Amino acid sequence: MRIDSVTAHAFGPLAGQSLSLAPGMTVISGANESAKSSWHAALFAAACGRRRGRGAGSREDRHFADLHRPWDGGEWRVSAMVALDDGRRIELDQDLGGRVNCRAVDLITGADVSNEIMYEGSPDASRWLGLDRRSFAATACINQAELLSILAVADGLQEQLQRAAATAGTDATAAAALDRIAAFAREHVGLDRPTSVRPLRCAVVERDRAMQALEDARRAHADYLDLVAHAQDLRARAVVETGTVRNAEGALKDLEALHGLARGAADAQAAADRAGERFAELSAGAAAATRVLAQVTELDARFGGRPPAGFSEAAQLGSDVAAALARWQAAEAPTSMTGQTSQQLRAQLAALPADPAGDLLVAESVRVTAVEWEGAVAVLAAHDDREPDRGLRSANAGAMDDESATALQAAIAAGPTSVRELAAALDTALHADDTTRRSWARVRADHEPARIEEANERAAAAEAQTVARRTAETVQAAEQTAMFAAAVTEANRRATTQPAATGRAGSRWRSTGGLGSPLLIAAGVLSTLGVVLVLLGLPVPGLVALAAVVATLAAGAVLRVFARRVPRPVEHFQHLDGQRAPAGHQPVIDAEFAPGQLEDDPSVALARRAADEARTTAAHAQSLAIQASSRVVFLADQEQAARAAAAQAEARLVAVQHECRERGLPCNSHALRMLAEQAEAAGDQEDQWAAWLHTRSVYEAAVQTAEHQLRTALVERGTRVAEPAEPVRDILDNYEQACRERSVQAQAAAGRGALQGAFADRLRAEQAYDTAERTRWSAGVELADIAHRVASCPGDCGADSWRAESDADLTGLGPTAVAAAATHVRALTGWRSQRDEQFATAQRDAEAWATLQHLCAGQTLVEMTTSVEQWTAAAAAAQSKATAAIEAAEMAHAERDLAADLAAGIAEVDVIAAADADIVGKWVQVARHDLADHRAVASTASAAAESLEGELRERARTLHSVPEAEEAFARANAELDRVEELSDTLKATSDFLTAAQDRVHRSIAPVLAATLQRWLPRVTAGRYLDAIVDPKTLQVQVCGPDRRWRQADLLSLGTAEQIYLLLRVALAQHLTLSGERCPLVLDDVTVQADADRTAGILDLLLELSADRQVILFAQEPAVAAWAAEHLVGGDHALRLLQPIGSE
Amino acid sequence: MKLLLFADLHLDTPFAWADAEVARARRFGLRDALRRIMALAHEHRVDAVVCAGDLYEHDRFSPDTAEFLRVTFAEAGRPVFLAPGNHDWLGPQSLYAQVNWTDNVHLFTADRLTAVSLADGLTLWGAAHRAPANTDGFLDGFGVDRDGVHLGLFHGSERSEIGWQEEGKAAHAPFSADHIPRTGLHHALVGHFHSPRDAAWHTYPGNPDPLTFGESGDRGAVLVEVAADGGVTRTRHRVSVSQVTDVDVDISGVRHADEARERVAAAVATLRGIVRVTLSGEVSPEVDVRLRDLRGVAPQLEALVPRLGRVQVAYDFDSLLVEQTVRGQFVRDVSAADLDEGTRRRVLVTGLRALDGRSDELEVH
Repeated sequence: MRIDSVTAHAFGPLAGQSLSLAPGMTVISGANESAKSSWHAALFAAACGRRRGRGAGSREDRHFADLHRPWDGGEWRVSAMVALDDGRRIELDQDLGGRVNCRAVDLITGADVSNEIMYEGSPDASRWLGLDRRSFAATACINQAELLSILAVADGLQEQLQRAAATAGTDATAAAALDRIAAFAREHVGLDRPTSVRPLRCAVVERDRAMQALEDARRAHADYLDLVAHAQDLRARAVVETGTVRNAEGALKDLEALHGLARGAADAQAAADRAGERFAELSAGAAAATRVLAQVTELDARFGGRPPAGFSEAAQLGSDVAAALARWQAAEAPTSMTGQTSQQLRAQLAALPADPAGDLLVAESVRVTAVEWEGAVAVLAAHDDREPDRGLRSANAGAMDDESATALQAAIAAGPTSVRELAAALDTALHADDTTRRSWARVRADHEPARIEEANERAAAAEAQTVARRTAETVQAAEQTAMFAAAVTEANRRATTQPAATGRAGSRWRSTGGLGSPLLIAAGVLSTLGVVLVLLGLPVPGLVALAAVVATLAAGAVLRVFARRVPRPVEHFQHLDGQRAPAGHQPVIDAEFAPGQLEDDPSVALARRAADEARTTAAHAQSLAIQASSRVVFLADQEQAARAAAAQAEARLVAVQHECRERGLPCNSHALRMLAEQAEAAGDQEDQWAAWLHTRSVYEAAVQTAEHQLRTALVERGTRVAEPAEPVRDILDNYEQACRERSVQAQAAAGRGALQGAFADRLRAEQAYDTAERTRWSAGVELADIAHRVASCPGDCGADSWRAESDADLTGLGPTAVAAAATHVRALTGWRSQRDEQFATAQRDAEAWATLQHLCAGQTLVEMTTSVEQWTAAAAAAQSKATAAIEAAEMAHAERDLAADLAAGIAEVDVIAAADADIVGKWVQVARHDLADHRAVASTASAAAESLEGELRERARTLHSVPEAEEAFARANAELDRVEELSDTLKATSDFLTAAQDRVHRSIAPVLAATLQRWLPRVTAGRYLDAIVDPKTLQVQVCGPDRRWRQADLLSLGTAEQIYLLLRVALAQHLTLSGERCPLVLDDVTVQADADRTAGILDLLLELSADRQVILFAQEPAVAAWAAEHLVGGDHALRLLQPIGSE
Repeated sequence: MKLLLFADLHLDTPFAWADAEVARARRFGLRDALRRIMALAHEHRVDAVVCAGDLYEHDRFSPDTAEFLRVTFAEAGRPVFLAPGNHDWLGPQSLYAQVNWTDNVHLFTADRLTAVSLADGLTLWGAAHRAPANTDGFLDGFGVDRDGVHLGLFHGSERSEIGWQEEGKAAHAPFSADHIPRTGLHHALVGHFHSPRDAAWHTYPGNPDPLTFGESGDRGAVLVEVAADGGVTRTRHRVSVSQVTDVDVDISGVRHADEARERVAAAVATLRGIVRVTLSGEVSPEVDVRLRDLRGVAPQLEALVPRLGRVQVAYDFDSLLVEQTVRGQFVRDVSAADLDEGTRRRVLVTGLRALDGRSDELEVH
């Protein structure tokens, strides 16, 4: 974009005037009071307009208006013709007063394009550049004050670049913004630490306090509600208990009524029972009297008033008949006998053998002792079968050679444990000896290189010290020479009245200054070489190279000073070897020179820095030497310790070997371990043989004991021993054979007893047979005798028939006699049956008569009939009474049951058991006791309920408000949220801002560097060739052919100005949208510069105008003269402003 | 038969937006509303006062509130029917269980509809929430078992209104309006939704006194006249003692903070009670508007509750977005970052203010 013309319709002192501008460079020159500042402001206002918004404008807006409102009134208006890089030409018309009639019109199409560039209420042509009126002013407009402030303040250039990068120069730098955010966060947020009193910590504390208060309030409220519920429970329980008391009282009352009814029912039942019993009693009496009357009436009719006749006969005869019959029946006929007679049995007894003397079976004592003896013998035999080897005494021991046997005996003598310990000690000593020897060798191997390194480091340190000292001396000499030159110059200045011809001086400076460049290049090369060598671990060559650098730089510094100040060529200046300058060398110095400028000379400063580097290198070399010495000492200590450890290990090994030899053991750990195992095995075998022998002696003693006991037992059983040495086995066998023989004899003699019994039994049977025969004969005789007596009995004792039978012959016991006896028996039995029947009839009559007499008891039949009638009437009366009593009892029972049913509805009443008045009485007692209990419980419940009611009232009085606690917590939470939100916002803002700063700096830095790299050689005539820009800080460094980097704002003012202008161009272009070029508007940027700097700036601007429009407002005539000389052709223009009276 | 219906009074509710003094005053305002309801009942000689739940808040009620309710209802001079809701659910620890109510107060205690005869041929069916949540619909499986006119009184969520009623309101004891006539009820008097609703088969009276800002509609107590055929005539009465107003104030173009205060003062000058002011508009970056600065601008109010609405700082973000500077990069990065709009705005304004060189105005609301 370029501005072709500006028209001030009414702007400050300007009215209806126009100013055309060239597309390249335009110098607008005018002395004071020529409205140059007004044109500058009008140009800006016409291009960018003014902010239009509701309310008052900013302070800057108001100040602008105060300065530039039309002096003679009228419409405050400017316009400009602008050409865009896309070919459009635009007319901008700015109504600065009303800010309403502002527009941008395409001069070709006539279209209003204001909306393309509308910014804060008015068209702003800088919008086409991607800027706005503020950033355009900060980017494209440069004034002298700004330039001076940048060059006068340390890091001013860097800060200006940062500001431009951050806000296009309108506001603060990003770093300052980040500092403000951090400071604000510290003040308004702070840290959440216990000791902090900042808002965040306060908000957290308050939130926690409010939260605790809310929890307390809620807990108290919940407790209160629990208490309410508990009180409700207690109240309900008191009511229930009161009801229970009332129920118990009712139940007791019912039970007491039931008790009365039960007792009444029991009494009625007793009366009914008594009436029933009386009725039964009378009824039974009446029945008995009726039966007696009937019996008396029957007997009286049977006997007719006379007693019966009775029965009489000889009672003795009947008894005798019965006895005779019984004896006959008892005397049975004897049974005939069979088998051997008593004489035969007696003969057999006499033929039997006698019982043997001695054991028939093996005696228990002999059998037991024999078993024990045989067991002992078997155990001994089994033990003999398990006889073990006899260790070293066995046949295997004989296979060893003598040396092995000796070593084994020595091992057995020392013991396996000691042998193993010797083997372990031998191994340990050998290992320690080997380890310590290796360690010692390793330390020795390390020690030697360390000693060599130490020597090298010490030599390098000494050399570096020397170089540093010489370098310092060289620098000092150069400084003294320069100071001498300065003094001379000052003297010349005072002596000279005519100023030096600066043009000539400048030309000389340029011509002699040319000698410095090769030296600087050489110094750069040498310094690079020195640094590389030092970094590669070659400090000595590196230091030599650096010393050469110092010398070169010192020479260059002196040469340069003289090149600037001395009017004649500088003579040879030999400072490379550190020698002072020749005493006679006193150059004449330029009158403009000042002593302080020596400090500003970059060559001197570079020499000083080289000297510092040399000193630093020397110190570093000394440090390395000290470190190497420390390592040598350390390794020596290690070697001594390793040597002592090796000696100690060797001594231990010799001691162990000596002990082995003393014990007759080999000095070999493996052999020692084998011997230990063999000695251990031999010991085990000896132990086993001894144990076997001991066990065998025990078994043998047991055999002897058992044999003795067996022999004794056999002798005790009567066994004869032929001789003392006779084997016990033979004695035992003889005894057992004798037992078997006696057993056979005894079996034969054992039949005597049975035969004697049979003989006795036969003898007793023969005697019994004879006795029975005699008894039966006597009974038959008695039977015949009694039969004769009956037959001879007079009267009704028998009939003729059986009388004849009784005459049978009963003599003798033959069959005839037996048949006769049978006849007698039949006759006597018939007689006796008939007689018994007659006697029974008489007996019954007598008894009936006696009964009649007893029943009458002296009463007549009539009297007895009357008595029966009286009994019957009494029974009927008793029956009536009993019926009435039963009905009364039933009614009482019904009433009692009804009461029991009623009571069962209230109390635990068993309706069946309620019939017992005693049980009911017990229930009443229980109910009275329960009632007392219920009354006590009800009283307790009521008291508890009342007590809790009181507590509830007290709790209610002190209860905290839950909603108020919630509200307080909400407020505290909101405050904490606010602070946390602020903290988060500040943190996020800081993060975004930092990221944006890094990104923009990274993108701007190459742009700036590239611009400088393009222009710097040209504007510095090759003094500076390259430039770098730190993307973090935007710090600019430049370097010349020597490649030594220098901070841009530490260079000379002229160079710094040019660099700054180049950077502003680069920034303007960077901040401008692609496709457009931003014009530069400069206001008196040369007013404080000398002629050289002015020429430099103007030359640069002219160069820049080839790429963009440059508009320079200037008041110095020199600038106008330069413009008249250089601004030729149609692309450039010089506009001379005429003074106006009132500006 | 005339009944006075109210619900959702929420005695002892917290007011988190208010300071302690205002909040306490608001809670007393709720009590005043209940006294107005009782006075209204007396004025219209209603036959009974019916409350459809959320009379108080179980987790917060104070013993003083219990005594206040006991005395207020005892002095009502007419029957009072209470159907506990989800906030004043009936349990052993309830205020309802704590208070020794006078005989004119009838508390529905069953979690199903039970009947009370209001007059010959007119039955009121009421139910109680027995837990703070998960209460089934009272109309599920219910049907009247006698002749006459039947009214329901309970606390529940009408399903078709769940979507548009207050956001965040959980569904408690849900029911459908068309279910009401199928049960035999002629009308249901219900609470829970705070927005008033006069539907064909049911009536939500709404909360009688403001509980928060932004409440609209004719809330209050409803005078219900029941005809012999079961038809109801409803007349709404405002009983609130508090004025709560929402005001939007555009502060665009103010040149300094005092002008913002003046605009707010002018906007609320004619108002009384409690006013919530929502600031909006586009403000110049130089103007530092802080909510706390609005304290005291309207002394005639009980409370002024300011908040920020869409207050935009008048940065030209379009220009900044193309600026090849740290500022432009910052604006681009923040604009493209995954941030919520509030955070984005705060970060942008904070960063731009810091870049503008402002040190004391970096807190952005």
